[in-house]
Amino acid sequence: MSPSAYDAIVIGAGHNGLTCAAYLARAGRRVLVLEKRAQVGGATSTEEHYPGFKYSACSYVVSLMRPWIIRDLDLPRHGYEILPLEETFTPFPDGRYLLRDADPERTRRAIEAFSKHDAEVYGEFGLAMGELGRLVKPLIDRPAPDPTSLNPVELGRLLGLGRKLGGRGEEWLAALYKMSTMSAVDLLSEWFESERLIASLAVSGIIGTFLGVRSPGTAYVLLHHYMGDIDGSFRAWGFARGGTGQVAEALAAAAREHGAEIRLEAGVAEVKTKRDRARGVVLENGDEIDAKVVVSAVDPHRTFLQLVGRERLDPELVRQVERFKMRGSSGKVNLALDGVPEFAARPGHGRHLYGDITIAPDIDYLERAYDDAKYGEFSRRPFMDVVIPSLTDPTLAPPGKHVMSIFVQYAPYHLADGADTWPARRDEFADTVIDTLTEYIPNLPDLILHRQVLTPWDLEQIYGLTEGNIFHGELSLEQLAFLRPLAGWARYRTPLDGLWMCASGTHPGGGIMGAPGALCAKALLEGRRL
Amino acid sequence: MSGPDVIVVGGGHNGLVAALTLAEGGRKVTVVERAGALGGICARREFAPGYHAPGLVSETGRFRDDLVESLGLAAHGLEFEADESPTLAPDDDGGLLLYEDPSRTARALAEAEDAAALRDWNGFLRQITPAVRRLLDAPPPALGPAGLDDFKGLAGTAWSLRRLGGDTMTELLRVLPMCVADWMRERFASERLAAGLAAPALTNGYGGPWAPGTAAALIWRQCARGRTVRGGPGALVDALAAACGEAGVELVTDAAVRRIHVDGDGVDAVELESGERLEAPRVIATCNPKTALLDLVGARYLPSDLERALRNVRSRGIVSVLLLAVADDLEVAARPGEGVDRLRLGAESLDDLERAFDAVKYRRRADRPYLEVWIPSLSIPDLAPAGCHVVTALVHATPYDLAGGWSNEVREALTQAVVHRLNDELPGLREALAGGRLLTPPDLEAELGLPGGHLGHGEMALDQMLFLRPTRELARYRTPIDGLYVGGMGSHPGPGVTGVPGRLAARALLADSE
Repeated sequence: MSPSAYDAIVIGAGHNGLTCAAYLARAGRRVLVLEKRAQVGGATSTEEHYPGFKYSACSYVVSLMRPWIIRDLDLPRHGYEILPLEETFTPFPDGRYLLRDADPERTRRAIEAFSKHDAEVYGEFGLAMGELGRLVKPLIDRPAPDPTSLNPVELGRLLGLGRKLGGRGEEWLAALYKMSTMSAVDLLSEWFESERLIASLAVSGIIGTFLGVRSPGTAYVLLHHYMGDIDGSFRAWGFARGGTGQVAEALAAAAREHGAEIRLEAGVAEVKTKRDRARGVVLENGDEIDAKVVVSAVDPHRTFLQLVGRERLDPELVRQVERFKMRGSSGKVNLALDGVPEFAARPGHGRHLYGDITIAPDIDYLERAYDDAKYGEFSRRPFMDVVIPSLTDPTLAPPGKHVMSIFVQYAPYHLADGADTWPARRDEFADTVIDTLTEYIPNLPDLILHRQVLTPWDLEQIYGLTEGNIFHGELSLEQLAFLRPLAGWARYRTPLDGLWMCASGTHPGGGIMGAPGALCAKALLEGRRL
Repeated sequence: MSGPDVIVVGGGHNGLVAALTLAEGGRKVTVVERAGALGGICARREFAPGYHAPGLVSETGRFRDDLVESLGLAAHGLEFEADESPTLAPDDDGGLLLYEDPSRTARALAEAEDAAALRDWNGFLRQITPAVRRLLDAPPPALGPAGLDDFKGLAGTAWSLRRLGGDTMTELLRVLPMCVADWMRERFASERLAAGLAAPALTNGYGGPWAPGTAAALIWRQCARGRTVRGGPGALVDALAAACGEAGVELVTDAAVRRIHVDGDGVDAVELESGERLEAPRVIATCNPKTALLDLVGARYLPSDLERALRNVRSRGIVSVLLLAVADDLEVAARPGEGVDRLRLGAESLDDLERAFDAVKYRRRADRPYLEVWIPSLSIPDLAPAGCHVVTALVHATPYDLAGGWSNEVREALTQAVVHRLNDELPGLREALAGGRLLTPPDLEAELGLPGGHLGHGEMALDQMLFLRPTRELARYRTPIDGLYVGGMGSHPGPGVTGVPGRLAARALLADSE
């Protein structure tokens, strides 16, 4: 066997690909990262499309980036800094608003305006969620346990979880099981009576999914908001200074420092195989590069169906990959603004502009938005998650000017007339978004200097996200843990020898956590695979 | 004269099964039923002069075979249909005949590809049925540290799952949380077949086919299917009542319960609306567990966690029952002369089913609801005068909390809309209409004591199944009140005419008092 130039080739320089590469390089392996675009980060990118304005083009907040990764890779030294995001502002069409933040007393008073009862139980709810959150957090820091295995190590792992729960095991397991299977609205209705508070909280459960707030399985994501570490080393949500792309830049710097090579504008056309084993890659320009292992940081569909190819795979495996659901459901509109937007519900400057601005006035509104999408239309009145990061981080826009990031749901990839009708409807989509938002921010149209519109179609074309799915595959129960991406292949290995996967399509899934990339690297190193 | 050992609250199928099981165990039992007749949702009822419905529900095929045997019901006249009668999902082309047995549906299907897919699906279902049935027929596995008495059951369940083999078990675990629409579309090319197969999964739930967890409901149904009782639910009740009579069970009707009395830590008597007080050291409540514990016992006797959990049990009724008296001969137009007596309407596509449920979300009724139609008089002639017929329809997407309320105008409009739709499939029905009765969810609540009007004592949903049905604390049929048990459809394995909750509650009682 001829010695390969590289121990590992990582396909895709998104945050997971870079994390994986950094860990492998840190362990002394020769690593090459190949990125199709001219910058690192994939969907974790900062982009300047209008002079002086920096958009966090896709991913706009950092959620649950693992503290041990930050420490292992010494990311702060490489420019990683998270700025807190604490407020959630929900304006209503009738001119009222709800502003929640990190101050329990202030939040209690804000909720009291809508329901005295809800104000009283809000704190208790937070505590209960926090306890459950701490319980499940270990799951995202380890490979997924496999309940179908008879392997003693696996059973020990499951039992270990049971032991951790101690005497209240049954109670906690039941609560956890309920959280995983209930709808966000049903769960919140067990605690709260105000529809407005419920709607404002429930939307966390649907971000990036093709589900409604009343769909079972949406309650679980609520836990993610309560997983903050006690030592305060990180928060559940925040802005990366310099835009989200700065996370990827810091990871890239760490990887390079450890000796990894990152090649940009080097799109991979296919995974090379020899005797049923991945041996390297063929670039789009025809170059061939060999390596002992190939690690894919692109999504499972693209990995198996494009880079490997159906013809080289077992038909049963192809069937399983094809039924792994990718359906994208969201889009992004990024705006360059000439000034500070002013909300009708709360005019003037204030704390409410610095955090998360949620357009989710009531449950029926959210369900109607979902109904549009079910039948192949983008929402006429969408749910929107808006942030103005330049208020917190002035480096993102010229003085006095701002960038606004609008996450929009629902925007189904499969429009009734076909996904390829998206380009023709891109402007209509953006207009719908801006018109809806203008109902809350009357001066918005006057402030817009530039807009970047990313439909699911664009997310696929530009960032390689199949069907525009921001999580590399839906985060529905049947596609999580030991079933992600495929039953029997949830440990970062794939059925093709020498090919590994390390991104959001694997456990524990999407969001800027870094866990899939790091866990894949650990699996490679611990298993002495290279 | 000494009182009974056990009082069973509710004379529905589960109450009667519980009573028989207890009698078998040597207990002296009294059953108290609020209505004038036994049976609850299975009771035969005259809804127009000379016209009877054999029950409010139409399915009896999930009543457990081993119960029939162990309770000796055959000796009391219980018989089964020799053959399964199919359900027709009509279309412009003669319609699709759907059997509970997928392999029979396959035989009746023209499209070879989907017929093969059906056989493949049937193969999967047959593989998982023994393990799933084990789960359905036993108390739900405990989550926490299992006691010794539990260990055998738990080990058995684990072993039966393990025997499935890795791939089948993984596939079962993958499918359980899915939505039935995705599952059916994975397997079948024809939309109307996918919709026709998916529709029954929605019967006791609160969601459309795109709601995660509906695949589990379909698996539950498929794995529990058995033989259909001849004469319908009413005939099953007759046999159970006859067996009770012979076993010395006292059956009291027109005896609504006002309170279940607690003395100290335990139950000591049941007080009827009439003021009569029946003393007994043990009570099995087979009504909705919310009614039993919150209304009849009273929240002040319950730990606050349990009270909260019970109030959070969701039982939002969205199904109405329409009973029609037709003074003429009836025949399904699409299949003349074939004796088809069941129809599935409004389930032509998955989107149809989903749109019908969309209306429910906004507290409206669907314009084109999913209808489960049965013409019981075709197989049970004594339900109606000679030459006449009874039609029953479960009308979905008719929410309990309808915006604007269930006024007479709204009720009439719904009845007319359903009659109009039925008339397309059963020509002449409208002209020959001799009477009828619409039971909306609020009617079902008022008449049968079903909170929310839910026919299954609580929605089927992933978080209201197994060890969480009706709540974690009550999942083993025992309650914090000594001597009080719950054993209706609100308990595992849940909705449908299975008799299993009643039997398992009675067994728990017997085990505790041995």
